[in-house]
Amino acid sequence: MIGYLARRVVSGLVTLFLFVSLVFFATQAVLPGDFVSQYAIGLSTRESEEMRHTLGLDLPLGERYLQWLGQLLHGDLGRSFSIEGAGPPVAEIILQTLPATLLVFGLGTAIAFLGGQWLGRVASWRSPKWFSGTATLGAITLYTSFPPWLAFLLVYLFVLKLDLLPANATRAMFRQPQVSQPQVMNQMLLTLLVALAITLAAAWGVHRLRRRWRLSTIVQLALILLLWVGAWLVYDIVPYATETMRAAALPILIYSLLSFGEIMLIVRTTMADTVDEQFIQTALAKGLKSSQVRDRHAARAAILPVISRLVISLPYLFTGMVMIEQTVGWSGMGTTLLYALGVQNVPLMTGMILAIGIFSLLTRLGLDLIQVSLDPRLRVASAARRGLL
Amino acid sequence: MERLERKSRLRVTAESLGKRGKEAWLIYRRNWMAVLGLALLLLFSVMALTHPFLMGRVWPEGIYDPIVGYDLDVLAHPSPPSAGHLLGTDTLGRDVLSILLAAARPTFVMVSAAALASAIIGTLMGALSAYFRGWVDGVFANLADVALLAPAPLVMVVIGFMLDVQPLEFGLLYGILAGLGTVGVVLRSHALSVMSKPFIEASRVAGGGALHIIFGHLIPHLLPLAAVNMMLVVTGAIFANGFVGFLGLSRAQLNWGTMIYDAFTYMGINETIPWNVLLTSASAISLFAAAFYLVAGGLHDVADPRQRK
Repeated sequence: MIGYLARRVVSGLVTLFLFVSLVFFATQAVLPGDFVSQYAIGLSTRESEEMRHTLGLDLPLGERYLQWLGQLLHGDLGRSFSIEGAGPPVAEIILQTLPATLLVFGLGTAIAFLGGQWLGRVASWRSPKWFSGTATLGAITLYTSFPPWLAFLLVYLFVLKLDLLPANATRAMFRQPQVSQPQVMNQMLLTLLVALAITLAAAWGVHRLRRRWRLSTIVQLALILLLWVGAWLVYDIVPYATETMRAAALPILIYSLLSFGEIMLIVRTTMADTVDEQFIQTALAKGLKSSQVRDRHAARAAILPVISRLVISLPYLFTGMVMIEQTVGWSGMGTTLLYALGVQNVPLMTGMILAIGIFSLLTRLGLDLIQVSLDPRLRVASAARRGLL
Repeated sequence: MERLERKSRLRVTAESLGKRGKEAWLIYRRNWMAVLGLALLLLFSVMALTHPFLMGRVWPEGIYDPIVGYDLDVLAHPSPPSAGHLLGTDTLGRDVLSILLAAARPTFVMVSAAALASAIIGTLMGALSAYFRGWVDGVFANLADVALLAPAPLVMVVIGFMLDVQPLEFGLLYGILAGLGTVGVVLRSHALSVMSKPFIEASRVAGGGALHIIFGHLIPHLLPLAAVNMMLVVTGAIFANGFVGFLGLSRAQLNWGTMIYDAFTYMGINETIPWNVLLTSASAISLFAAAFYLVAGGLHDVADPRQRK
């Protein structure tokens, strides 16, 4: 298993590196102009030549690539271009934008997964026809709604009409400069992870204690929320955290609505396939309650295709995220990448693509692990490969 | 005698094809959502076909041209729907219905290219890597990794920044990326399960070669799933194309995403929200994507052996 994971990581990194190199060459060889020519209107020829020189843009492309490669091998992503020459280091920018994206992506995916899984399960399981029909049509509507349009509609509704949420809160958020926004977001993410771990451990412990006891999903969710907000109190970041959540509410809502439709449709289709399986008939025949069969037998069997499908949809969900960030003005990785592409800020662009690639690589590995731990067949296969069976 | 036999055999195949088609249609028809999808597709084809006719015969070109048209008789653009402009005009005074119809044809071209390219590449990749395994599988798996690391919609945005891509090229590129990535991965795992079926073994024992098994047995079993995935690719392609238009990167091209982009941009000049532009273009994108998704659902039913009596 570890060998398999290591192989995956290495081959993933190699392909990612090749891809970034390709982007490096393609953007500079194909795109007309460069970073300097974006601002050339106010500059004299001599000034722009000087600027090119300080940014290193006067060197031939191959040399620039070797330079970039050398830096990369030392773990240095270079410095972002700016009008005054070299700007802040790219790694710093990534670390500043990563938490914002992670917060929306993580929470949004969690909400969409829980909701979509539940609705898909209920809609495919002997529910009245009108219910499953409406649910499916609703999910298709969400799945096929154009992200910028949905974002605009929700902004119009919640910000302009109902005045519930702040419009562009990421900028005017923090008045006290000693607490930076990424710092707060990092603490929020960290505490969320801890809350999640504690809750999962508690659920496992309870189940271990008494075979028949289970913490229901709602109890677990409440526990996570309680622990999370409690941790804000401990860290003394409550006002910042609530501000952040108010600002993040809109992107999270849009993102989870968009992904919810897709997840619900996948669950419904796979569940509909399991309903006719023999083990379902057996479970029903031995007198289990219908909801028990649905949640413990059918849904468990249907979760595998859902997860393997999620591995594939992940890049698409992530692209949807980029579209949403761009439309709502949430300053995360997607917005930064599009900005860097627009002004041909090469170091920032390559750094962002690398970061996004590594992020999606890690997420895919995580989903792979979940899949192996859920599917006994895969475990047996990997054991057989190692010669244990 | 031999000719007669061949002729009758031909007729039998034609008959059985007709019978299978009829059976498939009966299964397809049971899914009312799939029928709705087909109707939507028909509607969009009609839209694409009527625009040149309307421009040539009915609408005066100066007023209704989708790019430079302007109606002097209407004051205060954007105007709400009226008798002359069934869907009103946008902030620049262009007829919304005309833009909407004109954008249907390039979208169809783009979508068909994407669908076909992804289906062909995905099927071939799935079949070849499941049949040969070994290094062929390895090469394709790495290609799929690249295609999944660099999600097709995002790559298309990057390309949109670089080049002025025509709808056909856009569709082809998107289809190749999606075929190597998503579709290929899905079809490969399905092809692996087909390869373990007894009839493949039987065909091998009977002396069937690689070409025969791949094209005679494996690919026919992959085609239904390929059709389903092809339709799903379309949704992604429409979104990517719309998003490239939404970023303002395909200014000269007619595109529903560009309509939304234009509407947002002109709101900076004229604060009235042009609901007639936004609603129509957004629902055009959604309904077009939904049509393909619904048809995919119907095809899925047809391909499912359990649906047959």
